[in-house]
Amino acid sequence: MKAAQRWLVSLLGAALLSACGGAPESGKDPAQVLREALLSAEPGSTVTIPEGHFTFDRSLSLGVNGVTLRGAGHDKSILDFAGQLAGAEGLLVAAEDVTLEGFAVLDAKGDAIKMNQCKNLVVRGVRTEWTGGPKSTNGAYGLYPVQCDGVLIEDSLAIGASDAGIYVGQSTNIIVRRNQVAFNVAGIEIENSTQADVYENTVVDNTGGILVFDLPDLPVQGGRQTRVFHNTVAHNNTANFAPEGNIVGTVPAGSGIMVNSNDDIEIFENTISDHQTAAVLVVSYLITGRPLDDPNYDPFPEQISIHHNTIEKSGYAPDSEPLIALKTAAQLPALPAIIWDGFVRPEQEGPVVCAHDNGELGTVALDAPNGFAAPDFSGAAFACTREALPPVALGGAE
Amino acid sequence: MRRAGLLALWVLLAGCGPSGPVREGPWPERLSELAVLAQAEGTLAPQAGFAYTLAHPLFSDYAWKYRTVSLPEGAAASVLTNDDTLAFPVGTIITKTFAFPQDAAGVVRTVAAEPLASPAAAFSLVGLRLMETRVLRHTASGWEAVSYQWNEAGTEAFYAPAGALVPLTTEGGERFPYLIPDKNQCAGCHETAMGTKILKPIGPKPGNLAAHGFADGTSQFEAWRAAGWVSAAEPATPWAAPGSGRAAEAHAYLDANCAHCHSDTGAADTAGLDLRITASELGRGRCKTPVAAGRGSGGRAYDVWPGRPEASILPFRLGHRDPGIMMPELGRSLVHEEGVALVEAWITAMDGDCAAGLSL
Repeated sequence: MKAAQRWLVSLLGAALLSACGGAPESGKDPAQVLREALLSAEPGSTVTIPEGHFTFDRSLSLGVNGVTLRGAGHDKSILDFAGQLAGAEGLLVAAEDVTLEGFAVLDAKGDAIKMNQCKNLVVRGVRTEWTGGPKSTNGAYGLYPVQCDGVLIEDSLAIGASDAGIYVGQSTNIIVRRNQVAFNVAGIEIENSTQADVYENTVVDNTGGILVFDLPDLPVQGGRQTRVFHNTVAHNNTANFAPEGNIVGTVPAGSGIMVNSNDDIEIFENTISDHQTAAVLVVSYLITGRPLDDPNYDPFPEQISIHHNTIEKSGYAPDSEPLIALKTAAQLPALPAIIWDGFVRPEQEGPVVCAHDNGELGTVALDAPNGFAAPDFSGAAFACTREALPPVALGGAE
Repeated sequence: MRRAGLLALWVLLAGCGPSGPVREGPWPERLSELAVLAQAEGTLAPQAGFAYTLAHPLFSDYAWKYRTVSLPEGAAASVLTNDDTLAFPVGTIITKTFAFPQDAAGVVRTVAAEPLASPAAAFSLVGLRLMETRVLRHTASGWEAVSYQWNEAGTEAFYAPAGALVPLTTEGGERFPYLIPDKNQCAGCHETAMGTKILKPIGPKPGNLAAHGFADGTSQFEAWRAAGWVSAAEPATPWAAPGSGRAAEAHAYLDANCAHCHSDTGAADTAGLDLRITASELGRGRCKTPVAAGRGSGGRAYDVWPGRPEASILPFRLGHRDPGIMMPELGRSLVHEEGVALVEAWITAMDGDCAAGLSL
């Protein structure tokens, strides 16, 4: 009934508009219908994407608060950007309280779905994919919320991004759960963000599985308090295909979970199996050797807790020159599963990375600050425990 | 329902009659009904208000642009700072008409337009293909933006909130899609403080306006002051004149083409690259590593590597045509060769160096 009314109103509207002469009617191209529906959506309304395969030559965008964009399923409502000629993303969302649900964005020229400065974002059952497999010519990010407060990404698929499949940047209050993430450079990346829970995801065949990074020269810094737990992280051994120059280009292939310069991280009860470089890698930005001119930036990872993970098969063919050298020098068939580069602030007292109950595959502190001179396989550097971090509460959305 | 419809029809029909500019209310379907631009005898001219130009314009695939402002009766714009967009009063309508010189075969030419001769100057349409007229309207509830697309005959432009891609070919045989922005894409640039949903004009900044002089030697900004269109105690400080000097001219170019997103509040503040004319060298990307550039990095380590344009990301993205790489993200399909050359010259002349990067 409601839909019928709306039809009637728009018919009447068209009649009225043509009263002044009117433009030629736009065709009934469903892609155009969707574009116009997004442009004219009322706050709080639902825009429906029907089942079908729709092609676009320019990006779509949503700028209205409170809108739900709902398809018939990520395998049924397909938005195809392979022929895209304009726009730096497939779908750009610049609004609050938006829910995206049940559709796919394929082969966007840049990012698949970028959500800039959002609040209370929900992404559910959405697929972003580059269908030609992992390639450096694929777009950078699949699901890309940045500078958002309140992010829930669940039951979604992110495949083939040349940077990160799911990338949450400069945001707070984040839950990323039950997603399937494969064949990206970084599977899931939480960057310069605060309070994130990443759990029950299946993260396979990326270059690096789950990354928690804090990087300089960004307006939002001080990334901290992320929990990574109950994930299945397996054989993330795909050769790094990031375009050169990007920070994820420095991620060694075969990194299960990687922390770079972030603080207050708890990694627990994950299953992490078959990673040629390391199951868990904790590093400082300083190891990149990149210049650091940002006085506000803290390059040291601190308060890292890694416990009760099930780890299998790790470090057997590291994709990193210093790690290859270490493996050769130590005459090991495989490096320890948990690797920390050893950078600490000069006044640091006590350990910065705690690791316990992670099985028998061991740890190493690399002594990277001293040219990898005295790597410590004893586990002494990791001998500590930390209190559990509190869960993230999104205030209703979850 | 029927009565409401008839009422709406009456209101709309009443709107078809001649009257002053439509400064608020629903957008009319036809540009002519907005009553700000008059088309007669092969020219476009201000029906209300006056024409203006920018010494440093946004590059739009070499399209020629004709800009007008219509202020409400007796009102004037005011200056915030020399480098911020003028504060225009409620009721202001700004238009920008895009057209290409085109030959009989429908090939467009990528050549520069004649500079605007005076605020009263009309825009000769001879040999031009009209594409669109973008309109900014300052209503009581804020600025609104939309484009009107011209018909092929160039006789009328129609309200086009969904935008369009128009395939064109240059004299060099390059095919490119010309983008008429949809309403959200208008906001994508004009919402200069991301997340506020407040749109603003971008171009008319005192320094940029003042950098254009008319044939009689007066600065455009002084002409505005003399006419009472802008209330300002002081003349503006003009930005570098085009063709005048490398660094200052490049800074002006980057402001005009990039700073609506690359500021401390714009859509690109996520990247931490500030391209406003007021930015510092560090803000403007000196030795700055890429953040979320993806393919946009082009395998280069820094946004700006002094002395090494071939190793800097900024000219790489300005010189690219792939939507996943190019900057600006929207609003051009062709490369602005002269702009890239200007930016490269600025980087070449910069002193200093960046460290070579390593990795684990």
